[in-house]
Amino acid sequence: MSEKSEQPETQGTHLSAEPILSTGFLLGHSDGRWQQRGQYIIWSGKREASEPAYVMHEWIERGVLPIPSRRQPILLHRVPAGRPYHVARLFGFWIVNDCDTLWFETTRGDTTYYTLITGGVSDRPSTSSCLWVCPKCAARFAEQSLRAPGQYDRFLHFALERVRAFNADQALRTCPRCAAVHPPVYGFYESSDTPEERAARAAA
Amino acid sequence: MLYADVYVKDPIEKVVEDWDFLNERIVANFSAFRPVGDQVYGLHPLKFDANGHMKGPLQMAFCRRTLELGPHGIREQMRSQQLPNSPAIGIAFAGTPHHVEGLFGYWHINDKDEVYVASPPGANDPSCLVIVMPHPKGNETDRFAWYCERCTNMVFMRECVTGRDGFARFWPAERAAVREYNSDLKNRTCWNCGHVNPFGYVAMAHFDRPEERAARMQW
Repeated sequence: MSEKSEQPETQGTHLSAEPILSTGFLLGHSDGRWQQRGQYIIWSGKREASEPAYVMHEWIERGVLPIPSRRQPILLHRVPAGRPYHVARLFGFWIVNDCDTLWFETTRGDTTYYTLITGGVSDRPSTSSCLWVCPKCAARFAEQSLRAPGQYDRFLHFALERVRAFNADQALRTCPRCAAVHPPVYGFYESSDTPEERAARAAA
Repeated sequence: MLYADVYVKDPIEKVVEDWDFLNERIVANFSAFRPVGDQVYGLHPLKFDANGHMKGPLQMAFCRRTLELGPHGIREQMRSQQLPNSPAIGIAFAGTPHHVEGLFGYWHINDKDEVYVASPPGANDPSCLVIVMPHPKGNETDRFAWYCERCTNMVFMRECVTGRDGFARFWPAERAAVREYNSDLKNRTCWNCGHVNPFGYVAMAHFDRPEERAARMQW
């Protein structure tokens, strides 16, 4: 998780005894990493019209619910605490947080800007889970949780370890309900992708 | 798509009615702030008249300054210095007195961080201001304060324990604080330097009295 980004910051990052009253950044200038800002954790990114869109998915009892992307030029969607979500092409696993997460999309010309916002409450997310959903029967499986209050970067590292274990072992990728084999997956940060993960991201 | 075989077949509106808070059928429910889950939301789509000029009080939020008060006095909040026409995000950290010129005539101090996501007007693109803050809990408060515009000493403040009493108490408490502040010249007169400060005004402009409407144009 990035505490300091390369984008044009609106506050100094030097050490100072002065309180930081506010902060801000342009959505189009994110470095693509999660950032802790106060009690919130924020990710933002963008895609051009020529690129496949990021698509938010939620898991509900009836199956997988895709949140229509680019159907409306501006969108704010709430993922309630405890509900699994996955953003196709952004991360190849499903996340469950113990606090709400917001998904914001806005399109300006040929560029769509995306933002994920979670937390806002002290030490939340506290416990986050990483899991997969069977693409043939929608069963949830291979779920593992990490309790790391206020340390979302630890969860992302934990998830990447789970991704690599999942890809390395077909037994882990086999749905316990219908025996379908889940294809290889990818972690959150594209810059960390192995060739297999890069291919999985491209195929998503 | 990987999950196409297990997609829920029903239209999303039938599964999650408020799946998009900015949908035109839903967004009006959030104009005066609404708690949902962990957060309180204030959602403000921007509207334009036939000449393409922005209408309503949000025009002021985009065109006028957002100010904050810190150890070095009053300064413009960083989020309002960002590039025009570029979507941006800003956070006012808990405890920071902040005031938007023309939008609300007091300094708001809350015990939670406030996130602002601004999607300013584009050529053919809708625009909005999204304000999100965690739901106050326990003894957490919202405060309505006035500081002397000349020497920045606090001259008046009222507090609403929104954590205990619920966020629905915010608007009545806000209006009561503004009306009390405006009711007596002593409240607006700085105990330190003697300066008489302008009237306060509430966020909902339709409640303005004449002197409050005049103050809205002033600070």
